[in-house]
Amino acid sequence: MSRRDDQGPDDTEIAAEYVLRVLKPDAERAAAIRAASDPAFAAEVRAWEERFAPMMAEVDPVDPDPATKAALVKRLFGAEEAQGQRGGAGIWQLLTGIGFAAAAALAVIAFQPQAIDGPAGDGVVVAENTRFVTELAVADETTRMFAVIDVNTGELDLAWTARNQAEGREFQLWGIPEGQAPISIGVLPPGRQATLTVPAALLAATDGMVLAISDEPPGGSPTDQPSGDILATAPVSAI
Amino acid sequence: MTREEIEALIGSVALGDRTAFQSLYDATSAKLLGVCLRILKDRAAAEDAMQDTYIKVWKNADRFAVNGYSPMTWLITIARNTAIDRLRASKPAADIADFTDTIAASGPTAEGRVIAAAEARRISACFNELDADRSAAIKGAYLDGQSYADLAENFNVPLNTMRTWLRRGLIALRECLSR
Repeated sequence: MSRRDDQGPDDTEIAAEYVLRVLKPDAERAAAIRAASDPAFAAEVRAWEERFAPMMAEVDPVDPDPATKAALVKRLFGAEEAQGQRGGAGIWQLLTGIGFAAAAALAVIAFQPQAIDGPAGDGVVVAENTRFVTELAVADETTRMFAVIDVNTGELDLAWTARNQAEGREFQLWGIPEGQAPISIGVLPPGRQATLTVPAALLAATDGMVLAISDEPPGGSPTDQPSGDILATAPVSAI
Repeated sequence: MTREEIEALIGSVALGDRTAFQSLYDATSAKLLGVCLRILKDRAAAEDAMQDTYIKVWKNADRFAVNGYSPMTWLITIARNTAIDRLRASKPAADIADFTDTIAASGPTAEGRVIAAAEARRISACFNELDADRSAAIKGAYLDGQSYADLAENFNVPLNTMRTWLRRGLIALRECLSR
């Protein structure tokens, strides 16, 4: 499959179209993942949100029905105790549940140093590190992928924003715990998105882990280590 | 209510303060209902979307604390996206078969500056500099939640033409706003 790598719109335009919600679903989902994992792109998204928001000045406020507030309070605080904690939602649930651009707005927390380094005080609530993201790109950027690992579910969600795979070859994904040998996560299936199961040995070592893509024959590496070239590597970061 | 007051309320909501949540609702719900109504054009659907918006606000207020948005932009963004999700879910999928963009792998420049409050006049001045069709297209997408297919139909131009208009309009708008 060929794709346009050279003359697409630039990131600023994509960020604007993403914020406007005019991207088609595939592109919107890819942009949502970038916004959640790429600080520069997230900053573009945020800048457009701030640019557009003043347009809302021409929208007149409308007083809600008082019954709506009563229903909301009941729905929220009536049910909340019984509902328990809400951890473990996949990245897709998170993204679709919140709305893509809003999810990006929320996900920007991932790039605030205090959120990664630990409690920041002053009432800033820091989530536990159960989600990790990374972006893997081949040097010439003809292949580029975002991955999100959820330690609670043991799943890795990935989305390609560019994919240039040689005929008759496979991409295989590896997790490399700090100071250890690579462990296979699996051969990457065709299609723009996929969900893989992460081996338990890797889930226990997500902090400081590096993901890597290798070039392999059909069916993947014949051994338990990469047999072809390592095409891309990147460390994971906690969200 | 000032920006700082709304920010403080969201901060309290992040800590689970239910009274602060209700104050935040009282201060901002009329605006957010207006935003939802503009997109959904239906009062009952807009009230539902507005309610869903506040549920997201309650559950995610802790994320706001450090993400650098101005508070009304953050609230409006959630409301607008919730309303658009509802709008798209209730409508047959638009025919945008020829839309084949992939994300370009270029190095973006960070521009995370928060644009200050009294921007409404500035953005409307910049809109006045744009071709009328282009500014109407951007407003149609932002304020009414229209897709490229909707916009192309309304302006009676091919989808590709609409996409080109909109992108050129966006670039011109950004240049004007950064002057």
